[in-house]
Amino acid sequence: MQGDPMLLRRLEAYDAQRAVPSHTHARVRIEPHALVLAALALSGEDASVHAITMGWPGRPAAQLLVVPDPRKRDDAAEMFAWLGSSLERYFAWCDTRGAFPQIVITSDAALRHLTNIAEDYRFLEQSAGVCELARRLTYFTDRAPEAGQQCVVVMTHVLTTHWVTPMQPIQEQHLAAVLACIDPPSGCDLAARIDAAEQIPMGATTDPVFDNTILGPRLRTYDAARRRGDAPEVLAAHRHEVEAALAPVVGRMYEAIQDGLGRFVAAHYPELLSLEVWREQELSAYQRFRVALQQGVRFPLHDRAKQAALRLLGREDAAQNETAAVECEDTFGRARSICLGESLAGMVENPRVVRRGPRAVDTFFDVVTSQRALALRERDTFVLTSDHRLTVVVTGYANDGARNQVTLRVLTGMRAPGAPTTGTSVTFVRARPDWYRAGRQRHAVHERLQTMPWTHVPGTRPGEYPRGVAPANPLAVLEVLR
Amino acid sequence: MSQIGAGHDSQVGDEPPSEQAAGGQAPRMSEGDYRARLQALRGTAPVGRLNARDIAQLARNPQCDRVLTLRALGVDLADAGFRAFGDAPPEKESQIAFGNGIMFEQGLIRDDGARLFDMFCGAGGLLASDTGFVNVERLAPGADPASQSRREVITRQLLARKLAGAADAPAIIWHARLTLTVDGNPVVIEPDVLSASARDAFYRPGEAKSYRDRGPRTNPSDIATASLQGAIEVLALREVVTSLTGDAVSARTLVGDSFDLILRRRIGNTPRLRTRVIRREIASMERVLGHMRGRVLRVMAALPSDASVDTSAGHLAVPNHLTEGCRAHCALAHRCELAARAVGDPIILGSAMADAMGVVGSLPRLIDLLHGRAVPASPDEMRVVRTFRDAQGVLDQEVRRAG
Repeated sequence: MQGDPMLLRRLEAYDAQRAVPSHTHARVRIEPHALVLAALALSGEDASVHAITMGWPGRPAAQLLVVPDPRKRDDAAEMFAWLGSSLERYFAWCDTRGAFPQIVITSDAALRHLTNIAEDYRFLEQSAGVCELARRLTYFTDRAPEAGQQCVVVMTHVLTTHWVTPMQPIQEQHLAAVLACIDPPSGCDLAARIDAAEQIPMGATTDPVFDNTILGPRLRTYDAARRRGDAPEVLAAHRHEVEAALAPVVGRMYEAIQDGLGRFVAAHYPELLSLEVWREQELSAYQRFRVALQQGVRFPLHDRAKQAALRLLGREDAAQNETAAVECEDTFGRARSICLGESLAGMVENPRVVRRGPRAVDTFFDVVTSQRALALRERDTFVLTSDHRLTVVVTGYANDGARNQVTLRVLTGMRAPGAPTTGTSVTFVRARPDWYRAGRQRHAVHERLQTMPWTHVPGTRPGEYPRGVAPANPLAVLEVLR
Repeated sequence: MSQIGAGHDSQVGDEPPSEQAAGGQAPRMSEGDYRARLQALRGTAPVGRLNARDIAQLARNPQCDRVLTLRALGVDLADAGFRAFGDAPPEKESQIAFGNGIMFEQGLIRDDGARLFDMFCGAGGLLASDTGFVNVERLAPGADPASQSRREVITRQLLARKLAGAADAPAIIWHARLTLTVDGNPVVIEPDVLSASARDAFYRPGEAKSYRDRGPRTNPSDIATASLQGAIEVLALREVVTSLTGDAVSARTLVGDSFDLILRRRIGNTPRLRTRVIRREIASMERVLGHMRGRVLRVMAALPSDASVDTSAGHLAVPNHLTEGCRAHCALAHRCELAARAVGDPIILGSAMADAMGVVGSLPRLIDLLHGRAVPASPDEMRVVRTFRDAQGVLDQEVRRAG
């Protein structure tokens, strides 16, 4: 059984009855122009927008729009047109400044809500405004699953990256519950505080009690007035009732995001070195998206085989790079990878040079570690965390009771920094981020697909291979082979 | 009392505790004694009306004896929490969302199920020549026992016609009324749809849900719940066929392992059909229902004779199996979490913590062990303490190295 520092931290949080710190380096930078977005859907219509409030980090909400009933075409069109024009203004602002847009939302539930809108309305030809909004949202929803992306900041992810709470991981999807655990008042009943926080809607819908007692009656009144054809002033009054009910709900979500942002920024986490590369990648992705938007690219819901393969490659590559970045640069991340046996940490023993030939030498050394279970095999390669120029390959390992001895051969860095000396404490990680791997993979795919195999080209199935003439005496052939 | 250290999430396909695994044969009891014992255990809680969703919930956490026992008692979970602890019953669902669902269903059955026929024909489930739509609910409306009984009779007649190969057997039956025997009690199951083409030997059940069909992005939890409901409906249909034909084997052949899930398209209220093979879900439900009596008897044997679930002591005396997933589907999850928190059950910090702690049964004990305030009582406890201390050592070393 491996000891996981994440579990250790969670135990500490339970003991202290507050969230405790974990990862030490930030993986995202909050842009000053980021759009803080809190949106609500109508229960049962998870691609609608009933109420939305927007603003910027550290500022009160700048805009609020509530439509009375998003099931009605007019109301939905009004909401989507407003949201679409707001997004396009933001995109245009980013274009003039060479920046990429960034949105900040509460949790995964909010992301799913935006993804539903982006996917459901992207091809709605009878409403150009809604279609354009969905296409713009596609930028965020398509990029969100990619590790290292910078355009969608999910507040629960950011906070739970740096704080471990005394809750079940599933509870950490509720932003108010996470915030309740960070710096609670001393002596408070944390369990009661979390329970109270979980009653506040933080996802994309309101709770059933609110729907049944507050929102539902107002909606019914408004819908009945519409059907009767009541005067505009009457409809406006009913609309105001709905707005008065929903504004505090989105307002609380907005304030929670701002609270989370404030705590994150105030903690002043040093940034991962890889963050600059991620930001460059994000800017490139945004610029490509804008070009595609102008060209009328359809952003299909389902990729064809080649596109799907390339996108999967890209996501795997991004995930590998993020893991490598965290293991190399983040203290907690590195400790975790050591405890889980992914990285190798120990003392150097017995450095030696073995001559293979007149001008060929191999440098070996052993690392002795007390790690209980190592997830490594022969031919695995590792990189020294303190100097990435030194890479090694595992050539053997042995277990002697409490200690594991791993034999390593130096691949690169024999001259500089050179093999470590006896008694040096070293930590090796699987890899450092490789920002060119994705390009090499795409090039390899491109090269390979220059010549399609016969299985993928109609009418090119090879004919029967000519059979050889059977020897008169097969045994004689076998004799020759002896 | 929560099961300490056994907090991993349950999945469809997990085995409920079998008689052998639980340590021996369940005690035997006559049916009359069993019913009397159930009545005593139920206390003042009224017998509620179970439906397919309630039965299907048993497979969401098949190792929980508490939910199983309450279902065997016919007690509503929220009501059980109220009677035992005074907990306000949670609001079941949003009436707004419920209204959307009603509107969707009404659209399906309008004009003698025109939309349903279009959907089934488009998906190849029915032929263009298939006709006949029967709304059983409309033939005998009402919630009174006579109307309900009449709907059952109408359903059996319709099913018998199909079994007899009648050419005029309807292609679609809406809200048929079936029964499924659960622990000796008949539970009414009303699938939204039974459909069969003229070329099909028998009907296939289906459920209409107002979820949007988003392909692989459709909420998997919704699909799982609907599939378990479908499994219940398949079992109920097989039971009715068995009662009509007297042949359980042919009933399994006639009522296959598939079920129709009718969802809404992304925009509007047009239905979209997903026919799902639910062999695994059916097997899970058969296992859960097959072991039900034995498990309830074992629970009873461990309880005092005067225990009843309408008291907090009686309620908590029935073992539960809290998992991280309970919050999503169980009205008692909050109460179980409170109890777990009171004893420091590691499941309150997640199933990974529960698995890592193993034999160290409670969080306060592990903290005492790590701080040296307690001594490990076994080599297994020593091992757990060592893994946590090793992790602490590595963390301290890396923090020192980082400066």
